Amino acid sequence: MIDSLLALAAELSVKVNANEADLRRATSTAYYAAFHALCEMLADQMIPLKKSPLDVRLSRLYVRVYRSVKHEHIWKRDLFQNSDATKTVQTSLDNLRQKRIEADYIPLTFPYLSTEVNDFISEARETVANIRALNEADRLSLTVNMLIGPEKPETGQKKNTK
Amino acid sequence: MTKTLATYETLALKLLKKELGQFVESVHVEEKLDHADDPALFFDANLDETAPSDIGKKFIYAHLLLRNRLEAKGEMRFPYLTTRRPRSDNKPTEQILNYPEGSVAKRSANH
Repeated sequence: MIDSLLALAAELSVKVNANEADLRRATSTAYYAAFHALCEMLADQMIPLKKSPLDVRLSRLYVRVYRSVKHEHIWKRDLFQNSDATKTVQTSLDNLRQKRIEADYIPLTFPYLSTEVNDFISEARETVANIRALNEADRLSLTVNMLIGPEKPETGQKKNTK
Repeated sequence: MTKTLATYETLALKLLKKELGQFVESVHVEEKLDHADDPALFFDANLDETAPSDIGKKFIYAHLLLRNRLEAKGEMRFPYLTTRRPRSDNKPTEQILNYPEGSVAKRSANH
């Protein structure tokens, strides 16, 4: 689905005489491609056996994890502080999300040219690649942070009262 | 424009010219609320007509560097970065991007 979304976004933005609705849909779709890549990474990490069509229970679990990623997670920086790689992913996702909100909710004239929407799609494509290229430690860290919450800073040792 | 924003524009222009290319003509920054109603910085990088069409990889790296440089200066507002391509009617970017302050509704932030 993710690659199809990217392809669809590109198709919309390079249409001859692409209108505002095309550019808005392309922008929104580019963000969603990247967002779904994050959901997929998390679900794959937790339920790697989802491809077995016989196991309905695993499929349900896969969907539960996939859908546990919320858009609000994107701008919670402490979830992505594990490494430069995860911080890069968060930076791009937040940037794309801002454009998607403009595309989907702001009724004023859409301020971006098709060449600029192409830049968003290019950014989304690289973000998907970056998510897929995260190493095991970063994948685990993101998964745990999103499902359980970020690690709290240590508050020091308990005082020995004896 | 405040002195801080002018400093950020200079910093961003230098960084983006180095990381993206000399086709970055200028940078404009504004302070606005973002999609989550948080104070943020909005950088527009104005590119000239020689800019290649596919700059995603370099753009992402340059964006992270910009964020890190700003954080190193104690700036914790998120720096949104947008490329602006040449317009045939030469309409200035600032006039086109004339959203009312805080117009990104909070209710939309969770969708």
